[in-house]
Amino acid sequence: MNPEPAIIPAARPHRLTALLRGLVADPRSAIGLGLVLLAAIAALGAPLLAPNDPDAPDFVNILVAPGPSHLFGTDDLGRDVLSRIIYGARASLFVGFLSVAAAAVAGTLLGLVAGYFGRLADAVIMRVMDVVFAFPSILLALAITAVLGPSLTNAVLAIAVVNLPVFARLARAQTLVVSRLEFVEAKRALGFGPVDILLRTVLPNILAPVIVQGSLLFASAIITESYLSFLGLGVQPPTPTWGNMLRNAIGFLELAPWLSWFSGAAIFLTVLGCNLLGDGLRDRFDPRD
Amino acid sequence: MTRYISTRLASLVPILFGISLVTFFLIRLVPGDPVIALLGLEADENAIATLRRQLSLDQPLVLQYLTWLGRILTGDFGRSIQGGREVLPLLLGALGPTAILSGAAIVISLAISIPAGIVSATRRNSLADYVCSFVALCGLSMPSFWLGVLLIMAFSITLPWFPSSGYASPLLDPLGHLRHLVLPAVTLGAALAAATMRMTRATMLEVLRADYIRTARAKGLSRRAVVWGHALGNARIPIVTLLGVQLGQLLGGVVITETVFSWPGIGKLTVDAIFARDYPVVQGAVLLTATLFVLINLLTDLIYTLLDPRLRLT
Repeated sequence: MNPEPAIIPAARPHRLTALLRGLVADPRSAIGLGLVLLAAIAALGAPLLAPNDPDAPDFVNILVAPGPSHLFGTDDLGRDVLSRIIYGARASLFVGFLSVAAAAVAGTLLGLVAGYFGRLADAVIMRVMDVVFAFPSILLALAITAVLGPSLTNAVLAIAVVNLPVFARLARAQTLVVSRLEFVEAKRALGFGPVDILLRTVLPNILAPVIVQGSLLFASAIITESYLSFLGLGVQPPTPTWGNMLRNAIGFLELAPWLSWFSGAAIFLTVLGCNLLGDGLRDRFDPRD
Repeated sequence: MTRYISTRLASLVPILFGISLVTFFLIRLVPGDPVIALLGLEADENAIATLRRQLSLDQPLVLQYLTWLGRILTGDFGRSIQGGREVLPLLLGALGPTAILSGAAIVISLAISIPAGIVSATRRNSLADYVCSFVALCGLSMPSFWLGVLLIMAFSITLPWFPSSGYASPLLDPLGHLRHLVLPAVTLGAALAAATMRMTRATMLEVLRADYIRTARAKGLSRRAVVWGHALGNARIPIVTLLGVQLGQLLGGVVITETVFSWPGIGKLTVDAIFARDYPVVQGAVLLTATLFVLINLLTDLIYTLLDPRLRLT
C-alpha cells in the first residue's frame, strides 16, 4: 500500500513567497518583520557586528556615557553596552525560540493523541494540562527554575512547560475537527495505522494555527526569559542577556541611566516586532478578523 | 444555575488536587538531598534528622504526600527556614499589600482601557483609533520591569514626586501609602490596560455591526445612547471575562512589579524565599497563589454566566 501524502500539503515555496509578499505589503507587519529580522541578524552575526568583546572589562572606561567611542556607553566593568546588547540577542532569541518550539512539538503531539484517541488518553492528558494551566505562568516558570537551578537549559524547560497546555488544547481542538473529516475516515477505512494517519494526514492540516500561535507565544517567551534573567534565575552572567543587563542596570539608575534604556529598549522593540508580525500573520490566516 | 455552580465547584477538586501534587513534588525536584539543600552542607546531624522528620522524608512517598496534604488542609503550612516563623501568617500578611496593589492596577487599567477601546471602535480607522491601538500594542510589548524602571527614573529621580520603593501602612500613613502605591500600580495597570483596550475595541466592533444596533440607530437614538446603552451592554460580557483572566494573570505580574518596587506582597515574598532557598515559604506561596488563581477563574466564569442570560438556561 502506498501511503498517500496529506490532502492539503504543507506550505510550498510559492505559498511562502506569497505570504511574505503579503506581509511586506502591510506596513504594520513589515515593521514587525524588520524588527524581528534586526534582532535575528544581531543574534546570528554577533561576532561580526559587535564592535568590542562583550565580556572584556576595561577598568579605565567604566560607566562612560554614550558617545563616539562607545555608541551605547559602557557598564560598571567598562564593557561595551552595544556589544553586549548585540550578543544579548542570542540568549533572548535562542531561549524564546527553543522553548516555544519544544512546547509546540510536545504540546501538538499530546493534543493529537488526546483529540484522536479520546477517552482515557484525552482525559488524562487534558487534566494534566489543566493543572499546568492552573498556575500563573510566570510563577510556574520561576518555581521550576528556582528548583532546578538557574541556567539556560532550565529557562528553556520552564518556559516550554508553561506554554505546553496552550499548544495541547489548540492541537486537540483542531484534531477533533480534522479527524472527523472524510479524507481521514477514508485513510482509516483503507487500513492505515493511527501513527500514519496522525502524522501524515491530521498533523499537516492542523499546522497553520499552531504556527500562528507559536509566533504569538514567541513574544511572550522572550518577555518571560527576560523576567527570569532579570530576577537572576535565567542565563547567568557574564553571558549577556537583555534581562540580566537590566538587572545590573538597576544599581546605576542615577549614575548611568543609559544602561537601562538600551537593554529595556532591546526587549521592547523585539517583542513589539513579534506582536506586530503575529497580528499580521493572524489576519492573513484568519480573514474573518 | 445552582446545578451549574455545583458542577463547576466539583470540577475544581481534581485541579486543586493536581496543584497540591505539583507543589508537593516541586520541592522533591531539588537536585540532591532536599534536607541538605535546605540546611546547607554544614548543618548538624540533629537539625538534619529533625527536618527530615518534619518533612516526613523518612516515609514512603505516598505517605509523605498524604501527611503533607493533611497538614495543609488544617492550615499548617510548616515553618519558614529563615527565622522559623509560621508560613501561613507570613502568606496572609503579604496578601493585603498584593490585594491593594492589584485593586489599584485594575482601577487604573479600566479608567484608561474602556474609554480608549470605545473611542477606537466607534471611530474606526481615525487618527484616535491608530494612536490608541498603537499605544496598546506598545503596552503589551513593554516588559513590566522596564516600564517600572522608566517610571522610577522619571518620577522618583528626575522629578522627585514619588518614592521609588517601599511601603507605608494604609492605616498609619494613608498619604504615604498612596504615594508609594502610584508607581507600582501604574506599572502593573499598564499591561492590563493594553490587553483590555484591545479586547474592548474588538468586541465593540463586533457588537456595533449587529442588527439591533442598526435598528437602534434607525429609530433615531443618539450616538451616545446607542454606544453606552445598547452596545456596551453586550460588549461587557467578553470584557468581564478577559478582566477575570487578567486578574488571575496579575497574580503572576505582581511577582515582577513587587520586586522592582520592593512592595511587600506575595510576589516579593515568593522571590525573596526563592533566593533564601526557603522552600516551605516557596511551596506555601505557590500553593496559595495557584489556588487563588483557580478560584478567580471560577468566579469569572460564574459572573460571565450571570451576565449572559442565554447561558443561564443551559
